Amino acid sequence: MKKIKVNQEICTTIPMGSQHVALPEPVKLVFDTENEVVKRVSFDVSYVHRGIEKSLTTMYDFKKAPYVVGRICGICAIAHSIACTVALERSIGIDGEVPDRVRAVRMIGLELDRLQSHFLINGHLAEVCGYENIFMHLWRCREFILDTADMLFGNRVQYDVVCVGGVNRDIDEKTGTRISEALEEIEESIGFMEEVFTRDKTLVKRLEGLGVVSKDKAFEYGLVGPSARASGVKTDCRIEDDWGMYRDFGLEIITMTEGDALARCLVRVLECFESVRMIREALDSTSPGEEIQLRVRDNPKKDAVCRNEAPRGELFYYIRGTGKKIPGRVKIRTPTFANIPILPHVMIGVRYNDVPPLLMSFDPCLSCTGR
Amino acid sequence: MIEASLMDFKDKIRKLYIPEKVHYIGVDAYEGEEGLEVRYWFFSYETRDVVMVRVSVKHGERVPSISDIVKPAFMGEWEIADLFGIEIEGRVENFFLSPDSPRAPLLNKKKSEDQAGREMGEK
Repeated sequence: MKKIKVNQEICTTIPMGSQHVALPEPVKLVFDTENEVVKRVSFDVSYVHRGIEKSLTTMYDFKKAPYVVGRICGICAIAHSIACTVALERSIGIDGEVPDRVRAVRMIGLELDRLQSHFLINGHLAEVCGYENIFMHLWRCREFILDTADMLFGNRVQYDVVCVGGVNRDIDEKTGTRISEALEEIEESIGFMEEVFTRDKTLVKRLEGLGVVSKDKAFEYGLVGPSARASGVKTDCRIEDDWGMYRDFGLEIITMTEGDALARCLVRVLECFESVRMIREALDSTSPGEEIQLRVRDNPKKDAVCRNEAPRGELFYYIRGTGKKIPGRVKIRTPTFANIPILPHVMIGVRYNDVPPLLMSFDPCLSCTGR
Repeated sequence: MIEASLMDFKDKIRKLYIPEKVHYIGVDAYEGEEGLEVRYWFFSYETRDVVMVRVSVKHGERVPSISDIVKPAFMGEWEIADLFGIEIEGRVENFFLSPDSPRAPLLNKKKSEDQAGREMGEK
């Protein structure tokens, strides 16, 4: 810790990270504080760049790309795989032929992913607020969701179920019934999470009014995902760029107007109910035994994009098709990348001990950001 | 797609970007045979279209920042500055890559090595 002068005031500089108990991943934030109140913030995200975009244009042919991008993040792996696959299918020109069964299985995978991700971050948020028991409860519920995913796709986090032109695995009738039963238990867990974040007075007081982002600021800084919706911005890529059947199933975009840490947390809770409903709709919409893979004969030949709603928000993929097996360029813009620029602004004026819950309420993922 | 030059791309973005109506997605670069392209991506909430503003840039040319128009743009600009070696106004060096990373790794290999060699020489 050192003392410096900021605008003629004596400030204490506190580095947070790159390794810190409140940070699941490496990022360095440097705070200039005066009497524990944050006056200035700077950040450094240069710890986990793995060159995945480069590898997709030099090492792997496009059919391997959905599996490679699934390794970008252990939490939203299928969101990356789907976004990449849909962009590739658009580039090849087969996106209109993808069977409904495939769309349904992809939707189930993505919504399960959203459920476990929202449980993960809300658990973390409770933990940094000092509620280790709630963290453990929520992560126990998350374990059940991961087991459900395991039952469906054979893996807990890296499903690798999505491929260009389809999916690698169907859901048989027996598994479908077991999933329906599991969803009831998951719904109960969401009810528990809702109760915790609405009725626990201490937790509500800790998060209420913390890191308020107005609707105008959310637009100005281009916030995405639950962080944007908590400020009243009605945006959701599942509706805006629907590769599945979200519009047909009448997905409701959950929004709140408060824009604080509690609202961001509650938007996630309410989205979990909507995810369960989407999974039920997807399970009922089609039957096992339908075609699950198209025969892909062409290479990506034109420019294509996909905006997919990952658990943290808008995930953008751009593919430059060249007619060859390896694309000319793959650009990935992750949701955390869009949510970072506002952080230094909302942190100014906040007490230093409020920084960890404030940061967690934005659900940052540095693994995605670094790629 | 909107084609623009280094001279007028900021005016075109200023005309296009209204935060309540148009969402800024990000900035990207691409190295083709004719040189570098910087591409700015936007999404219109009204028409639900993705709009790209494409600007051709020569190696070594300085690109003005658009963060005075689009506030969150600085992150993406610093990223392409690190990954493609593009000179962007107001960039922070090594924001995205660690100091010991290869320089401009998304440029084609030969140029990347040349640039790395030059930088090593400078040190």
